[in-house]
Amino acid sequence: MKLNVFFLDDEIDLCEQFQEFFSSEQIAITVFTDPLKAIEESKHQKPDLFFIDYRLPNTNGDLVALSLNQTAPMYLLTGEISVNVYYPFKGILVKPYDFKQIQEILDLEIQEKN
Amino acid sequence: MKFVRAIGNVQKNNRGQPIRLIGTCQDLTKVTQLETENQFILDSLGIGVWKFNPVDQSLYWDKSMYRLFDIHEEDFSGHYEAWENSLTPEAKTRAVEELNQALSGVKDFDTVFEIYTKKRGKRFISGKGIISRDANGNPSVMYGVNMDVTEKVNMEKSLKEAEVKLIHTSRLASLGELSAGVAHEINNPLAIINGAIELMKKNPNDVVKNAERLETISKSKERISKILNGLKKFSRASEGAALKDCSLIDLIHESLSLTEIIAREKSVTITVDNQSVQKIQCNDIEIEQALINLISNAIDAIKQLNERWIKISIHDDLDFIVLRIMDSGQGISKEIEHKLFDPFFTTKVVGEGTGLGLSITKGILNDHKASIHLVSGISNTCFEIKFPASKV
Ligand SMILES: Nc1ncnc2c1ncn2[C@@H]1O[C@H](COP(=O)(O)OP(=O)(O)OP(=O)(O)O)[C@@H](O)[C@H]1O
Ligand SMILES: [Mg+2]
Repeated sequence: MKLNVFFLDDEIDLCEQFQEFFSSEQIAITVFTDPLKAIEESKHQKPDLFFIDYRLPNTNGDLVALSLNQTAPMYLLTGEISVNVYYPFKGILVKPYDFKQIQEILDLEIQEKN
Repeated sequence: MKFVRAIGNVQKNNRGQPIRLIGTCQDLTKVTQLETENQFILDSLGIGVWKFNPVDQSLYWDKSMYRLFDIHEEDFSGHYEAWENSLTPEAKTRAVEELNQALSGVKDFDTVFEIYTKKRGKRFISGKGIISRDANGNPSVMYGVNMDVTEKVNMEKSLKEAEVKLIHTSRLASLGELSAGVAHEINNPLAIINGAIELMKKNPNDVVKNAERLETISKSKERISKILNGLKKFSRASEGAALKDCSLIDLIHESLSLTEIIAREKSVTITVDNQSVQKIQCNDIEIEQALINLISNAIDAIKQLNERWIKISIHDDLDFIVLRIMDSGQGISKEIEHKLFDPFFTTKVVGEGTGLGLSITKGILNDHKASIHLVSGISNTCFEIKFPASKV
């Protein structure tokens, strides 16, 4: 079964690049620029992994993670100098993030899933 | 020597002529000595005591009060006006309002006001009072003390000014939140550039798509340059820089290139309406800083509201250019209005506001012979600045 990945960032370019680069036979990626849509959609599908941007319009990635109410691992993406978060993210990736590192995270989750 | 209090009533005949005086005498030597001592202490401390009757507006002053206010006892009207007339025009509105608030029981009378004296010029006087009320709660009499606090006020002022200068010259003020936004705004396009490069490496033969990716890289690079250009100006010392003729609208757009980051994040819509053809003579960096302070304040004020907009407009008014920055907020309360431009006055929590934004803005505008004030009588918050137009 494919790994179901959600990617949330208000920069449309980053969403498109992520989807184009990492989509594969083993990975299905759904991208969102709107936090509310991501929260809504995660109720219907059951994502295996989340990538969430920190600075979002009217909210932040920490608050979104808290309100997602999911058990799947979440990674925070951030361009800030420093962030304080309450949610126990599995990792925090600083922008500009390393694609190799993301590939490794994805590979690891595929292994876990199978 | 003894002090005696004599109280008496005159008895008159039916034609109204006095015929007899009936009364009592009381030995007050002890009491008077005490009062004299008290008066001596108050005098030497420079504390004046007063009593005010709000019903008939009569006013009693002790000896120290005459000295504090520099008024001869025989020139004193014994009436409320004696106090009000001594206030400087700048102090009057607020001091009178505070007295009325105290009388109506809104808050205690505890204030500092400025008076004008003949010999010693303007003095700052602290005033405290207590009020006795009748059975219906109406004020029947008010007692209070006054003290000259001019030296203290002046010292505090110069201390504050020195601090403001320090921060002003280092140009750090109100850049705090800005720099956090700036880091984010640089790292995001960097992430996009990085992503585009990764995709090009992965698909080296995809000519059409790679051309698009190069375009994305170049756009992101532009985004970064714009931010850095905006910032560079603030790190450069602009003190003593020559004045230039600038069009205000260009300066507004420059300021927006920095503040729009935060505005976008808080979903604040900013519109600009330009009806001016004149130019101003200015230090552009300073004016941009002043504008940034005002725009940041407006964003802060409305970011939690349902309706979030800022309207910036400029138009010519004879030899002036009028700039208005209006936001969707509901104005600023009378309570704090007179403190807005004071250094370190802030309603924001520690770490979020230094309270220097508006005082620096005012300082910059003063240097440019421009004025700023809060527009009253409208339902939204609006600051208006009047720049003299450049003569060339
Ligand atoms: N547009 C506005 N709407 C409502 N209140 C405002 C507005 N502009 C300023 N104020 C009030 O004036 C106060 C002083 O503003 P000022 O810019 O001097 O300091 P600050 O914004 O609190 O701190 P800093 O500028 O250092 O971030 C603010 O704390 C706020 O209460
Ligand atoms: Mg401010």
